[in-house]
Amino acid sequence: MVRALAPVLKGLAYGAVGYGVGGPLLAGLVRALGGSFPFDLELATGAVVGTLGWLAGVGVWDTWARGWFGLPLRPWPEDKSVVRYFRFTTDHKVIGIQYLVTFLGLFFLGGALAILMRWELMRPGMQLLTLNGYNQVMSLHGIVMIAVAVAIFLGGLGNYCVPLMIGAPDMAFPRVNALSYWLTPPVAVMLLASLLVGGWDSGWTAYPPLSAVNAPGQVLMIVAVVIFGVSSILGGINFLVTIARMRAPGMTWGRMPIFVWSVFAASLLSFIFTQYLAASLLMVLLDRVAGMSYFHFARGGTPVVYQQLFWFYSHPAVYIMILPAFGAALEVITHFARTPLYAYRWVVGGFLGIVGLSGIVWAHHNFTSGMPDWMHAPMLATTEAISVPTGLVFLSALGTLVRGRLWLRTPMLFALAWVWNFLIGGVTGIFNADVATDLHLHDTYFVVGHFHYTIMGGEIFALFAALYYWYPKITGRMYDERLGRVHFWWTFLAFNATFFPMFWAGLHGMNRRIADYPAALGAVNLWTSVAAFVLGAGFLVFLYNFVTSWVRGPAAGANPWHASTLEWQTSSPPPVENFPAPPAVVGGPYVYGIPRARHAALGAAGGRAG
Amino acid sequence: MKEVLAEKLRVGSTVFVALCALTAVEWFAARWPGALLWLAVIAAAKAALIAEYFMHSSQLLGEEGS
Amino acid sequence: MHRPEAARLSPHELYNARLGLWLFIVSEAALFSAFIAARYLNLGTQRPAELNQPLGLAITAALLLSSLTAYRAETCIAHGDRAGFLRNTLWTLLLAVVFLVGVVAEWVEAFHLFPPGTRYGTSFFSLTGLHGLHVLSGAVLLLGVYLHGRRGRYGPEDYWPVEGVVKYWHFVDVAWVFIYPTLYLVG
Repeated sequence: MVRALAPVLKGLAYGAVGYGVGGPLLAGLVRALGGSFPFDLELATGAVVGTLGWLAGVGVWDTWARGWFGLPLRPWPEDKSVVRYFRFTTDHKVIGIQYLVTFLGLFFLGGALAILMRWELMRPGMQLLTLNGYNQVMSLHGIVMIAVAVAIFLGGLGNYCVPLMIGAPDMAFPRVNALSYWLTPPVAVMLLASLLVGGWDSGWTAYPPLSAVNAPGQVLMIVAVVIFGVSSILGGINFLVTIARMRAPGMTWGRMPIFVWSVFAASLLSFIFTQYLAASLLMVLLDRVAGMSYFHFARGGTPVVYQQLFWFYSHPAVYIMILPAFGAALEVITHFARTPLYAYRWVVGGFLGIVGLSGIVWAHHNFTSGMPDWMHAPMLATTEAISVPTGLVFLSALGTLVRGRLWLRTPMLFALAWVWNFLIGGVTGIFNADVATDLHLHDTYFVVGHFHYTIMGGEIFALFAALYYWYPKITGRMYDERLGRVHFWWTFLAFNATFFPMFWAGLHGMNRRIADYPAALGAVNLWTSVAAFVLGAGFLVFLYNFVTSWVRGPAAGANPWHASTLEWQTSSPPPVENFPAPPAVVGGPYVYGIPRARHAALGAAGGRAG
Repeated sequence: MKEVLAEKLRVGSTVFVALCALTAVEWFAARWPGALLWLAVIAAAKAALIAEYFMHSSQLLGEEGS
Repeated sequence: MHRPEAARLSPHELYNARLGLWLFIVSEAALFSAFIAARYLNLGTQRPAELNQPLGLAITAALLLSSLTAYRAETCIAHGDRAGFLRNTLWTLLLAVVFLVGVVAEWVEAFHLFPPGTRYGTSFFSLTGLHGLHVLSGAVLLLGVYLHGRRGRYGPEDYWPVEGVVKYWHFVDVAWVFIYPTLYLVG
């Protein structure tokens, strides 16, 4: 146990020392010399130095940075057991699982916070939390779930599957990949530790002027999000170079599985736009620690500028979340419809169209913020235009379903639910894009419903489709199909029961981000809360299924779905080098129902196709 | 080898002179009508010179490793 | 970034490293663009008359010149001229220090003229500070390359660390190419 955790413990120790030196010690020294060192600054420097200490301890120093100083590296002993999941390991499959487990853990934490919120909202008046406590729970739920939504697909499934699907031995920069992952635990620690220093109550969007003056917890949130941003940027660059440069011979751009394309598109967004989030939050931090006047109202700052910069990232961010979900859902749909993906090229065009348009739609979040009037119409037009490329993705899903013969296993059920949920999420989005309707809907539960239909109903349902689909590849074992179906129907019904009434509540005046509401809205909130509890309980089925199947499920074999793409043409789980010999790709990825068509020819040792 | 190096160092010096000249132009451009646009154009030109001649941006278009 | 113990990069790996660094630079450019945009969004093209123009021009010249010496350092090592590489790297480092000293001098003056709490001071201090941190990190990397180079580490077939650091250094210069008119010339 200690042997397994040794690097992590070392990282924690170095991190604590780093925090102490960079925070309290430095601040104490400056104060002793008669200078001033605000507590906010102490937290920020401590958190940054602490993160560096954590990284050094957890393996960056021993396995990487020593080389910069001409010192011999000290790699940890090779280990095939579960121990390697606690190490600074460069195998993309190990990193994928590290991401998946970490962010599923955070997903359940965020879910528990949502349950807390729904408990408070069950009846009018205050039940469980204080007003400020509710704000903190709401803010933490928001940022934790945003982090999960950004990282779990790209970091988890993207890492695990993309190199396999393009026939590569690993990512282009394996150590940077490990760095991307090991930057995320400090993020989680800081977000939770922020509660110890007053938490923060400005929501995940951290709008100034409030975020420029509230409790010090805000500082930890800002540092955490900036570090998370660094991790996303490095991950995005890694995916771009990997997909551009590490493809197996014959794997042309037009032969890549659609999931790989979606990861490529999402990485394009994340490596550019994440900087605007970092910048906007750094400006808030500068206002707080350096007395600057970006947004601080009393010093003549302009808070609306924050909203422009923030959404310049954060609207593309929802496409960073949803694009890999599109790819995974289409992947599952085409394999389980046993037919080539309908309109493959149009989908790729749709992905790139979303990438292009996503940078010019941000201000639809600011229709009610007092931004210049002339921005309203263009932003309305660009936002609605984005439904065209999104529609291409959607039509491809429908076309594939119409032309295929459906095999209704659990992954396919979740993918079909994605079609339904995303339809509702997309259609309700139009009302938010329209200035005339959005002026009334803004800041109501209508927006909450829309957002959760797209991100939870869209992304998370696609995530479960993908998790069930790739589970046999990742674990080498088959999950319990019966429990999978129970989980599906439970989640699908409870999800719609929870979030559909939110549209009604929003239209009837239920404001978002509030802990209390008029008694007239009691019935719909009671219904929503009960449905949310049921929804939350459903995930226990998933958890039970995945854990027990991993331990004692039946062996799955290399290719239980008889799928054509490369990741299924190697053993489950794949060997460290992925393929015994580099596969040669000879055709498109989805060769179902086409006589004599083949996707790839595997090397002499690799022909273990199921 | 020596002549190639000398030639490349000369190219670098020429680019540097061009950058200095553009910087001098910037001083005057700041007082022209539409200064912001002029400054943006000149800065973009300087950036392009640095990217192409100093950072060898066209390496990315060339054959692998060249 | 530099790995003395590692074998030489293959042409394929070298291209990947270059592409990765370029993407990183583009991403960094986005960060600078956000701060530059905030300057115009917050206060348009206003500029205080008290700016120390000679000093601003001097540090700009120092940084431009350092790009030339960095270029010469990389070109020298690429053609096997180790002495030229070391000499030019040292010049680059020296100019980096000149630039940083100049920025500190600017800051000392600016604290009285337009402190961080004012609208111009906000953009001035954050842009020069953000850029200064990049100069500082670039200088540290240059120092590393210099020390490794002095121990005979690089050669004409194996100088990716030099190339990478020099590219980053040029990017720092490019960032200043946009920051300088933004802070000193517009308005």
